[in-house]
Amino acid sequence: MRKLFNTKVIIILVVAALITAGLTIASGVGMQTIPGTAMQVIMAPVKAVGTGLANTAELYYSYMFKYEALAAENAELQKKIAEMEDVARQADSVNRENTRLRSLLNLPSAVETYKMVDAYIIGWNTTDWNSTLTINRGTSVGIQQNMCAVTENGQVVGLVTEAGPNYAVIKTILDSTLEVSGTISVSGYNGMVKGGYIDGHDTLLKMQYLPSSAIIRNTDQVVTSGSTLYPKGLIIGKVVDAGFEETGVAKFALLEPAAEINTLEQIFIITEYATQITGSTGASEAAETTAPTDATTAPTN
Amino acid sequence: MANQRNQNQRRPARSDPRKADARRRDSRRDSAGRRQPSRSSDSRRRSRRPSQPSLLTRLMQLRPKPDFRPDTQEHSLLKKLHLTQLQRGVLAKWGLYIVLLMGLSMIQDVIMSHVSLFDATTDLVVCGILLITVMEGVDTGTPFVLIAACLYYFSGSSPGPSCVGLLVFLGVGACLFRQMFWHRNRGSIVLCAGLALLLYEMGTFLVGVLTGLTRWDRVFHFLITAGISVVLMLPLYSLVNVIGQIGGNTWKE
Repeated sequence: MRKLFNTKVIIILVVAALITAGLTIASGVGMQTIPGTAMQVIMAPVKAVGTGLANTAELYYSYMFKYEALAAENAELQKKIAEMEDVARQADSVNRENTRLRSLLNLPSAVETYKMVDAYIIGWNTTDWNSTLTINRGTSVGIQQNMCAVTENGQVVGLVTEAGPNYAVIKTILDSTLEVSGTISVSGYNGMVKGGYIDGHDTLLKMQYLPSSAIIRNTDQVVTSGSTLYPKGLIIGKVVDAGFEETGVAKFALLEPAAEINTLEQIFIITEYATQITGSTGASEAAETTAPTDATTAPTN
Repeated sequence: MANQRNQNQRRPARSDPRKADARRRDSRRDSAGRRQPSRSSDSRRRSRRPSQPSLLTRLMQLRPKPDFRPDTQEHSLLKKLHLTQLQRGVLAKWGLYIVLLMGLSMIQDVIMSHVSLFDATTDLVVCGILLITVMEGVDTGTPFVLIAACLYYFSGSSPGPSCVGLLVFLGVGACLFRQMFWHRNRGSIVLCAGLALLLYEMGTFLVGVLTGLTRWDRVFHFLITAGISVVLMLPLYSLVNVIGQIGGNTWKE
């Protein structure tokens, strides 16, 4: 035992303890280390190759063994598209009426325009409490920390927490440590949305701090309230359950995320967004551009 | 004195160099005072004339040139480094270990992250690190586990910085335990590495509970993760063992 447990082993154990302490402090500060970036830069192409192979294999598997299911899904989607086209026609009519009434009342309207970068997911974090994913694009295309990630349909995926030259790490909305301010679009109640893992709802989101008098219905849509990090009106999810907090002074709602995070392949990063306020004449009166990278606040907003 | 006089007689009398040059120039002129071409310039002119090659030379030119090329004097990189066969084997072994761990990391992040077994997943990279550490023994395994744990943390796939300390302490502990009580075989290595993996998962769980990132009822998920990973260690052992035998067995017990 004395022969095996020599000075070299003791030195390495001490070094390991010191490194652990140092890394704990560095991660607590939220510092992006050079070795970490270098390691991720090396691993990103490897993961990209793996993801490509896995996706191709899945494609062939689906084609061979899930043909009937895909055909049924396709028929269902076509039916849904027909329904949505009908809704879109109604929305057009309502929109025209809205524009007419706004012009009569001389009310300004705000339009948000986004500048986005597309990226493919190359890795998912598999640790128990973290919900992060890695994408194949980074600072080389303008992606930086604290930028919002969405799907092609404008559903919130998460926030960029780390960015390197050819990769970026996104903390998803399912992560308990990420909070987004949300609004129930129908009733206008505001609250804070975060991952429900800590409260025993692994795949759901929890919307907190809703007024006790709030009337919350199932399938109510929740969107972002708008902040320096998240543009206004992005879809977070829909209500599946609600109740009172333990204190009894506030209500909470459980949401099903709009984005199917575990099955995503491609996402979009909003690198820049602008709120354009137009008057009744249609001319641009004011434009407020917000670059998420300029935000000095913490990811929690 | 007489000898000295004889020597002086044998030596040519020293003359003025200018006079000697003038004498040489005069010798190249004829009686009429015209300059005559020197012998050396005449022979040079003769050599410039095209000479007719002989038949043998022409026959030699018709013969095909030999294909022989002398060996290059430059050595390859490996020869310059003067690595022995054993050293090359050891390098190949560690290179393959790195490739294996990168492959495991890729499989874990790309494929196993979507495979949920009893609401738990696997920890393939930790499996690989602990297996290699226990297999290599204390001498080589200890520095390896430190470097590998740091790289695992920096790869972004780890649960946090606590993984460095947990992996090193448990890896070294597993090495010492096996080398103290058991001989080197599949059973002892997988058992010690599996035990270390179980303790690693429990340590990660405790760190998660203490930092408020997980909750007590998730303990079974961590246990299932450890169990599945230990089962996967059995086939993984064969691969690690094959790589470990490259370059000869270097462990001493």
